[in-house]
Amino acid sequence: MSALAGLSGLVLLLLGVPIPFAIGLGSALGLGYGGLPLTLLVQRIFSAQDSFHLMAIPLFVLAGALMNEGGMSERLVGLADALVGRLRGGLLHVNILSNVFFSGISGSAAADASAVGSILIPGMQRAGYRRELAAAVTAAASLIGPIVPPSIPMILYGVEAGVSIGKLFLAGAVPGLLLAAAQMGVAAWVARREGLPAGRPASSRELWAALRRAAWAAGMPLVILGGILGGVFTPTEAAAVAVFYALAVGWLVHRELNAARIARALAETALTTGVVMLMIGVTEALAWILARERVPQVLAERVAGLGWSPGLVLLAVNLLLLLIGVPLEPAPALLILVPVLMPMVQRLGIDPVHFGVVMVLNLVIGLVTPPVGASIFVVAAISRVPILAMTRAMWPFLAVSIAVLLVVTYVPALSLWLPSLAGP
Amino acid sequence: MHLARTARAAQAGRRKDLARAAAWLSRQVDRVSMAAAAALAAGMTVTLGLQVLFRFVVRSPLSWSEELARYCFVWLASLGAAAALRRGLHPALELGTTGQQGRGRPRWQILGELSAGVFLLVVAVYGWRLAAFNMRQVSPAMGLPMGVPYAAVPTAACVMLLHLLARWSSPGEDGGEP
Repeated sequence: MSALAGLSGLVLLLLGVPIPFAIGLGSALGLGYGGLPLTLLVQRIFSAQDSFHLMAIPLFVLAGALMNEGGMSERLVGLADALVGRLRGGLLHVNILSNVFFSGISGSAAADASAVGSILIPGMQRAGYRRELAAAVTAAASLIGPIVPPSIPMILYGVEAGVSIGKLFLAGAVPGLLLAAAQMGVAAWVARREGLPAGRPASSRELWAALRRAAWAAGMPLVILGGILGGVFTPTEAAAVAVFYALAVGWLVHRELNAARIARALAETALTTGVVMLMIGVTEALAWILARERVPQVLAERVAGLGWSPGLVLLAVNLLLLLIGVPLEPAPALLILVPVLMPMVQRLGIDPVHFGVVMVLNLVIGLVTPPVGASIFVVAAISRVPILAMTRAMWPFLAVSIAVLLVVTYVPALSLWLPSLAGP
Repeated sequence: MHLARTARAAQAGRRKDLARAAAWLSRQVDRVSMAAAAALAAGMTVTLGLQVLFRFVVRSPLSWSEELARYCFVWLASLGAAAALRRGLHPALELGTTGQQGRGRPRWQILGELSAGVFLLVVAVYGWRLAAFNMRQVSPAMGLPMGVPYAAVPTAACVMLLHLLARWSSPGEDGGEP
């Protein structure tokens, strides 16, 4: 039953059938073959969607969309420019730092790439940066978003693995900042090699003005993280508060939100939610079939039987995930693989919070690994740079991101220190 | 001879009318489901906002808010998924650069639509059974018949089937919206 469901799903995927229908039909075939009632399929879809934790996803999408419509994005980029624009190759750094600011709110790489890219890529071209470089740094920096909390992939991992989402959020903070720092290091190197100009340094008055303009937007992550960290809100409630915060700031403070823009944000939320949740529903059906036949447990026993050290297993898992992450988006990859891998992780004594950070970081790197990936496509569409040309400018950023992945894999303290402060 | 030709023309005309009706229905249903989904997203957010407000400010937690928000969410997800199908947003595996930017309808066209059709038919048929079966059960907090949230899944399947039918009957016209 598992073999039939998995294989038929895989064949349909390889034939180019959209992911939810390939997996859904595969699961239906598996259930039918196993002589189980097909109502189980619908039952699994429904019960996967009927989840309080997953409600955080549409809420963070909505908060991000409102932030964009309400003029927060542009103010945050302005603040990043005032802070690091003066460096050589300043706009590369501005791009990366903007992503750090954004990621405190939206938590989706493709959304960040499109928000930052549409503001900064034209500006970078006007300032004389190569188009390919502008596109490459935008795509690479969008990786930071899903690592720095809040993060939609972390929510998915937490729900599938049964791990506290608040802890996962905290665990991503240090690795996310490390990734940003490493990418800025590469940006400095590229800037020197290409002889890029330094931006005009902002005067302290300009800096103050930029800070005041962006203060409300910059305060949003504090509300989200402070609430979760202090144990005041669940992540879902924090996401709802973030929506009201974005609404209040965009409407009352920035005065850029109106009914039409709010409606657009709601429509965007509905579509994104529909895509993610259908995928969650059908993969839950497949995971149920696999669990019924104890496939994850068998895998755990096999891997344990190899006698490899946890470090070696992590290396092998990382390589496998990097390959899987190229054609598959993080969301379906997490949904399919987390239930399969969890028993193995537990058996090897790997901390599931640490493993979550490794897995999410690994899979989002696939979003910018050429030739395919959501962030690459978004950036290619905005910048009109062919993907091949972007690839050439991208590789140093990609290489440093993979290096950070290895560091995060083998130094668990980077992920686990912050959550340990928050208590059990 | 002449009669046969007019009969054939009439048949073709009727097929065209049918295609036009399906396209029209698909468009109208999509408008309604997008509006409903947006309203549900707003409703879900407001409900959760009230939940936070009552817990921390008024200090008397609401009993029904979480449940209501979850059922809004289930319906939002279902209607959103249906609208996403009409816009071609459900992702496929990205093998090679052909699928990029989703312009045109690449390989997923025939096989994908067929697979989607079979899957959706299964979900629609068994989903209605499950929903009907659960009409007798009521939800713990609000006392709502459980069939109401359950009906979201087969409803979405039916809407998606309608969108697929509209696309099949008039292949020239792209069902997608900007």
